[in-house]
Amino acid sequence: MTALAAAGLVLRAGPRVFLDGAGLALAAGEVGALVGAAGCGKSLLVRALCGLYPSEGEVRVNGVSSRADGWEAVRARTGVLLGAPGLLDDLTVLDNVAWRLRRQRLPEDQVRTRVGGLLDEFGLGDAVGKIPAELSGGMQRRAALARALVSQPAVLILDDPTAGLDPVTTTGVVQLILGAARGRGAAVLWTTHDLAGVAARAHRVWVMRGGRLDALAGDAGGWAAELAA
Amino acid sequence: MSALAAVGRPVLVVTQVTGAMLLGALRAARAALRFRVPLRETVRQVERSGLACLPLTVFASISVGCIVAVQGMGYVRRYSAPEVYGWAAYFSAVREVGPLLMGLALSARLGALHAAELAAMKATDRVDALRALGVDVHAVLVAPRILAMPLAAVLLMAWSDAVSLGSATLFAWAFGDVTPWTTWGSIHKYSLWSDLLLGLAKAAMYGLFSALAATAIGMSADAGADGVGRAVMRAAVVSIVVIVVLNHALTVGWAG
Repeated sequence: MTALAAAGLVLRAGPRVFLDGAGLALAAGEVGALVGAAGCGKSLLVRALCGLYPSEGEVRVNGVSSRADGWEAVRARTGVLLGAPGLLDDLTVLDNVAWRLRRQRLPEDQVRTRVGGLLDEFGLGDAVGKIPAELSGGMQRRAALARALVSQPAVLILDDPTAGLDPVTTTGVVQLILGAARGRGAAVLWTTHDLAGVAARAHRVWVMRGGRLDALAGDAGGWAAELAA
Repeated sequence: MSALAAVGRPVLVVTQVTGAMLLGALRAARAALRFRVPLRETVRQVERSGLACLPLTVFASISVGCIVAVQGMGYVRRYSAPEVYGWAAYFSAVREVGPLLMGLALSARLGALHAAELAAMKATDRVDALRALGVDVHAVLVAPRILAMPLAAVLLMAWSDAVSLGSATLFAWAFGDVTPWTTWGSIHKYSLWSDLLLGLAKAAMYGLFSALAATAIGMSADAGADGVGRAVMRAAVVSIVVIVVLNHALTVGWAG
């Protein structure tokens, strides 16, 4: 089943055209990597896929359409992690992660059970009562990832989630994301510069260049050669 | 061409800010009418706005009391009319100088605070992260600030009235031989409730427009530290201009 499908995407910023009629699709449980040179518009595409940046075209998540059903319905089925963790300073880790569930008016005991389990899984069991300023960069990233996953989204969209992290933390975050895709059946779309480390583990890889989104075939060695060509 | 650009640029900025303020007001009103504004966050904003501004308010109010005492005692000495001192101090502190200084203090302290917070949230992706979670950021981040600031302004103005009148009373007693009994007898005899209410209404209006300017500018800030800095500066300038214009309109309108 197709979890994420985008078609006819046109992405502009002023006179510059980043995408001109591009599309992509991911099945449930698949990991897709989006690569491209810095400034090619990957982050804009991530925002466009969840309706945070104006674009033309249509995005479907589990059959729910941005055009027919609206962005609110699409976002309700999507977990997003942007470049920065984006946690709210005044709230504890528990409250940050529980935010979406509380807005869905889930009973508080269910919220605490689900969030507590997820935070334990993400190695943040001791940090539930801490505010973001008391966490390291890697812990903040994991908390933001937990917030994106807590409502069990069909699609997880991540904008370079390992940027600025040390190699050990990067490995941990990558494992968590891949585990989320495998264990929860979520489709994961991931922008990255780490072709060998991340894109090599993806089922599909797209490169963003010249207003197009080209699917790459073969293995990491082949991609590197193709990108260099 | 450069002359045209020099005229056109500020016109564009004024149009953009006015439009953003109007849009912010409409969105906040819509969120409030649909009961989407979180009450707890609104109460928290009133509380922190009040606490944040309290020391500055006390300082400004003592200063207002001294200013109106110096002015009032001039008339008392010149016309030998100590019985009108209390009324003159009340009129000036409660209706004219007090609300204006309160508005400026609000714009400097709270307007800048709200603009900086929202601009920083925008610059660090927190606004987009909330939008991505399906959160109506105008209902959750903007509307509580817009609703809280006029409320906090009225509470602070009431406190400021008490402090400035107390200060004016003590100042006149210490330096002008006008006893507190004379001052408060004059206030009791000549002062109007409508002046007090107009002063509170002015403070509410200044709070509202400062909040509209600060939130509109904060939410449209450019990325990066420069963007946050520019948003704070612009919010302070726009708030002060709006408050001065409003003060003029309300004072002249009420007097006319």
